Amino acid sequence: MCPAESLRKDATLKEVARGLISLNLTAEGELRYITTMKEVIQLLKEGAEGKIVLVNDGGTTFLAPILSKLAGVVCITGALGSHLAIVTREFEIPALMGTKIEKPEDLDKKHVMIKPEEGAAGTLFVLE
Amino acid sequence: MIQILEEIQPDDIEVHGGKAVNLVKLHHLGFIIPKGFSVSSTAFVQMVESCRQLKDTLQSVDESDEFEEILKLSEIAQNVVAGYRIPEYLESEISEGFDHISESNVHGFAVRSSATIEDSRDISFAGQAESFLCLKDKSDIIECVKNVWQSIFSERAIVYLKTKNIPMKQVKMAVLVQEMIPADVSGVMFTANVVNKNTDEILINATWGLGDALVSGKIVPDTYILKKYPLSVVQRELGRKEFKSIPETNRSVMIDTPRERREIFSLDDQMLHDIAEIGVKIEEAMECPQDIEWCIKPDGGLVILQSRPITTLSAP
Repeated sequence: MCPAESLRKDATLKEVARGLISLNLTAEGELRYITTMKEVIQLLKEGAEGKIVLVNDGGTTFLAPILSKLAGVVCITGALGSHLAIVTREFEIPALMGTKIEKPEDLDKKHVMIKPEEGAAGTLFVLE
Repeated sequence: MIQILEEIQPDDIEVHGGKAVNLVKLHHLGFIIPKGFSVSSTAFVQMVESCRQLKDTLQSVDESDEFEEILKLSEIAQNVVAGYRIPEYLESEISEGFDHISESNVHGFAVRSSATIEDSRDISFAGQAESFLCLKDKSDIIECVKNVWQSIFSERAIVYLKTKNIPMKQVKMAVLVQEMIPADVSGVMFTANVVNKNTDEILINATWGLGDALVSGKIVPDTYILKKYPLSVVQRELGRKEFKSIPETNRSVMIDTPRERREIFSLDDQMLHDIAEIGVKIEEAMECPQDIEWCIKPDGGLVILQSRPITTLSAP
């Protein structure tokens, strides 16, 4: 059993935000709060595979270098028609848009899950 | 080099790009689009061909897989374009195009990308190149044509193209100059539900003012899901619509949306029905589900700003 599976089995889900999900897919992984291209480069070097990135707005276009490697994206503003949602769909990863997270830095490096709900809604959970 | 939008042929994609050609198809089918003209991709190719350093830089981008090197090459390419002087004959043709569409326009013009790989069935290129809004003067329009060319060499655009395995030498950029529409409400409509890939549903985002606040993801718009047959609303989510984009000289600006406008939906049932009905007609005419940018003028008329195939419905 891989570490992620064992963590998932024992973990409890704590809901931290709701939003609109760009694809009807669940994603789980370590969250990284990214605000600059420099942080994107750092994550690329470190290994972006399977990470979930949290960004401030749906106009964020500097994620291109790592989009194909990510498990998912969480965005504080924006919706399904935002460029970020359209581009992440092309890379077949879900983006949870318009989450209105007030202290994004508190979620950095936490293990999280994006889960689709009814209609176009989705929820962000922290696994504890 | 310049072609009035209505005179472009629907198969002119290599010359005028995906965005222009899709708009022209809609115009010929009777949908309302903003007046405008295209600066053909030939002008872009001539610019690239005339700059040896730019050609060499783009060749290096195509040969490199090192992200940090690509960032440096992007900066070099952008600097070369910034220093490029648009030839006088092209300035003069843009000027003529401007004169042709400037009659009675008081809201200025938008300058937008229409790359030959853009808005196709596989590649949206969404948000990768720059658009410039509310431009009033010829000189600003000419400068922004160059800025749009430059933006295809931005870090984000180059990396997007690399991840899609598109060589830089294959990319040609036409530029659209169109009248600004002082929209009361703007939005994006997917004529299939892109979340669950249900082609019997329509998904609409809408907000007050110009559409750049929505597509750039600065705000959370209203979201609606409708069934197509018969047309009926199945879900409504009120967006926060924190800001509203309005036209100013040479730019759009974000202002706070008055509280009472945030708390009501930007589209009523009749408007929703009308927009969705047009979406169904456009999908039928374009022969596949579409991602459509639209706006509503102060007189209530619906204008189609862009239509492109939804790129993601075939994904698992």
